[in-house]
Amino acid sequence: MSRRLAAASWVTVAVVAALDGWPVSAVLVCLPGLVAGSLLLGADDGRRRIGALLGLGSLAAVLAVAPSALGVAALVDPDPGDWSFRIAALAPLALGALRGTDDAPPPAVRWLIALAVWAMVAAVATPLPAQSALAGFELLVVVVVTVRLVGFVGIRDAVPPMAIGLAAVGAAALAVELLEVEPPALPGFQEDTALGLSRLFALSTEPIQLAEALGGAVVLAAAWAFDGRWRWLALPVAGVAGVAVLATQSRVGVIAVAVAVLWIALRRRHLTPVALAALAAAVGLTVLGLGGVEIGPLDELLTIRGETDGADVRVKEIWPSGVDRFLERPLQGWGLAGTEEAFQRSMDDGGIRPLPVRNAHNRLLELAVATGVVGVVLAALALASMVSSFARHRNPAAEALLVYVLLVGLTGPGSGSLFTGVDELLIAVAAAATAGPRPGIRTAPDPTSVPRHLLAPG
Amino acid sequence: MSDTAAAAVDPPAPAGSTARWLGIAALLAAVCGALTFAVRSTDGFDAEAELLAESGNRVSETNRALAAVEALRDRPEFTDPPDGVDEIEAGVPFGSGLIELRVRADTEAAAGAHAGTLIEVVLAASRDEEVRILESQIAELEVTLEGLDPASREAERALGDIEVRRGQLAVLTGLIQPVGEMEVNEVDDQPLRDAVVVAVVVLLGVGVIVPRALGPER
Repeated sequence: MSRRLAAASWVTVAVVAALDGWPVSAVLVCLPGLVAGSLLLGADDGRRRIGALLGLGSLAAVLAVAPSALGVAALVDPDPGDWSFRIAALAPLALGALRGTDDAPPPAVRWLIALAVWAMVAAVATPLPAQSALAGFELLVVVVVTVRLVGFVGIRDAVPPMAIGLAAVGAAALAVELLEVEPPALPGFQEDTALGLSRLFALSTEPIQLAEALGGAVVLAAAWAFDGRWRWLALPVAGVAGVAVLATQSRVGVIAVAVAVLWIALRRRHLTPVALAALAAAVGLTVLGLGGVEIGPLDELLTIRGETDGADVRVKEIWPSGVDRFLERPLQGWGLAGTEEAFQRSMDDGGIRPLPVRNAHNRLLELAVATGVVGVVLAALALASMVSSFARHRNPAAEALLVYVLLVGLTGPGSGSLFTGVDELLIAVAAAATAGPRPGIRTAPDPTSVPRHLLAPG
Repeated sequence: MSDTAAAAVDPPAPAGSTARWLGIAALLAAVCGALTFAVRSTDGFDAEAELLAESGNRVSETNRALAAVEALRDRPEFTDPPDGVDEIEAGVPFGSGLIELRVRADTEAAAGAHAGTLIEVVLAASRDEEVRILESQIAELEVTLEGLDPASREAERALGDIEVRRGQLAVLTGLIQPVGEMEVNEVDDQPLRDAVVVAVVVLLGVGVIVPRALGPER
C-alpha cells in the first residue's frame, strides 16, 4: 500500500505539473518533498531517516519561498501568487510523516495543536472563513509534520538540514542577483527600491519574508555550530544566509542575526535557559514599550517607510490601530488570513486611509488581531511550556530557538503573525525540542547512550 | 531482538490507517488546486508566465510611483505650502502604480489649485532619470479633495484648474473620488462554499490529524 501511495504521489504531481504548466523551478521545489515522502513511506529505518532529514530541509525551503505554507488557499482563492505545487510538494511528506505513531507529543505541541484547531473553528465567525480555516489547517499540518520529523531524527540532527534548506534559498536568490538572471516565469526577483537600491527577492517572495527565513537560518546555524555533526559546515551556511540577509535590507532579518550573535555571547556566560528567556522577553517588551517614544535613531528604526504608499508611518501610530482592530473582535479575532482585511477596512473608515499598512507590525499584536484573546492565551501557554521544558532539557538548539521565538517571533516587527511561514516551522521545532530525550523514538540515536558492544556482559 | 521489542521500536502502521485517507485527500486537493489553475490559465506555462509578469510589472510601477512621491516630498511645494493650504498627503494605494494626492485647504478652490501645482511637480519628476515614472501612471494620477462635491461649482472650478495644469493629460473623468467612495478589497461573499471548506478542514484536522498527532491514550 505504501508503495502504491508513493507511486500515486509521483504520478499525481507529474499530471498536475503537466496540466497546470508548472515552471521548471516549481517542479524542482516539489521534488525534495516527493523524494522525502517516498522514503518516509518505506519500511527500512535507514531510508526513513534520510527521508526525515530531507523532509526537514525541503519543508524549510518550501516554507521560505512559499510563506503561505501548503497553498491550499489556492482552492478557494486562486491567485497568480499562490502556486499549486506547494500542496503536492508537501502532501507526500505529510503522508509519510504521519505513518504510524507511537508517542505522545510534549505539552507545548499540544498547546500549538489547540491553537491551530481554535484558528480553524473560530474561522467560522471571521470575514474570510475559508481562507482562515485553511491557514489554521496549514499551521496544524506544519506543526504535526515537523514534530514527527524531528522525533524521527532527534533535535540535534534536525537542525542542520533546516539551516541548509533555508540558506539554499538565500544562495539561489543571491546567485540570481549576481548573475543578473531573470527567469521568464519569475520576474521580480529583484526590484529597485525608491532609494535606487536593489532588494533581494526570491521566487516572488517579498524581501521581508525572505529575510525572516534567512534570519532563521542564521539562528539555526548558530545552534548547529555549538552542537551538531559536521559543525564546520555551519559557518559557511551562516555566512551565505547572513550576506543574503544584508541584501534584503530588512530590519527583521538583521534583528534575527543579532539574536544569533546575542545568544552566542550569552551562552558563553552560562546563563540558564530561564534567564535567557527572561532577558529576551525583557528586551522585546522594552522595544514594544518604546513604540511611543521619539528618540533620534530609535524613532527612525520604528518608522515604517515606503511600505505601501511611501509615507512615513510610525509604529506608535500603527500599534494603537492594531489594538482597535483587536478590540473590534476580541474573542475570535479576524482569522489567520483576515488581518490584512482588518487593516484594509480600517482604511475605509472615513473614506481616506489613515494608516496605509497591511499588518500590525508586531507579531504579538498581529496574533491578537488574528486569533483573539483565546489564541493569545493558547500561544502563551505553548511558550510557557517551552520555557519550562527548556529549563529541564537544555540543549543549544532549544536555547537558540527560545531566544529567537521570544525576541523576534513574539515582539519583532515582522510582516505577519507569529504563526506564518518559516516562523511556524521554527516554533514547531522549538516545541518538539521541549520533549527532551524520550523513550520509544524509533531511530533517533541517543548521544549519551553507550554502544552495546562496549557494555560488559552480564 | 524479540518480536515484541521490534514492534516497540518500529511498530507497523495500523491497518486502514487514517493517514492513508489524509494522503489521498491531500493529493486530491493538489489535483483540485491544480485544475483550478488550469481552468484559469488554459495556455499553461505561457499564461502562468504572463500572470506572473503582470504581477512583476505591478511591483515595478509601485516602486516608480513611490519614487515620484519621494521626490515630491522633498519639494518646497510639498514641505512649504502656500497660505490657506493646511495639509498635504501623498501616497500610493496598496499594490497599485497610482499616485494619490490629498490636499486640505481653507477653500476647495485653493485645494484644487495647489493640487494642480503638485501634479506639475510630479510630472516634472517623471522626466527625471532617477524617478522613471511611466506615462501610464501619470495618466492614472488620482486626486482626492476632501469634502469636494463633484457637482458643485467650486468643484467645476477646481477641476478646470487641474485640467489646465495637467496639460498633456487628456483623461480627467473619474479622477476625482469623493470621500467615502474609495475602493475596498472585495470581501468573500460565497457562504456555501466557505461553509463547505471550513467543515472539510475542521473534520480533516480534528478528526484525522489531531488524533494521530496526540498519539495513543496513556
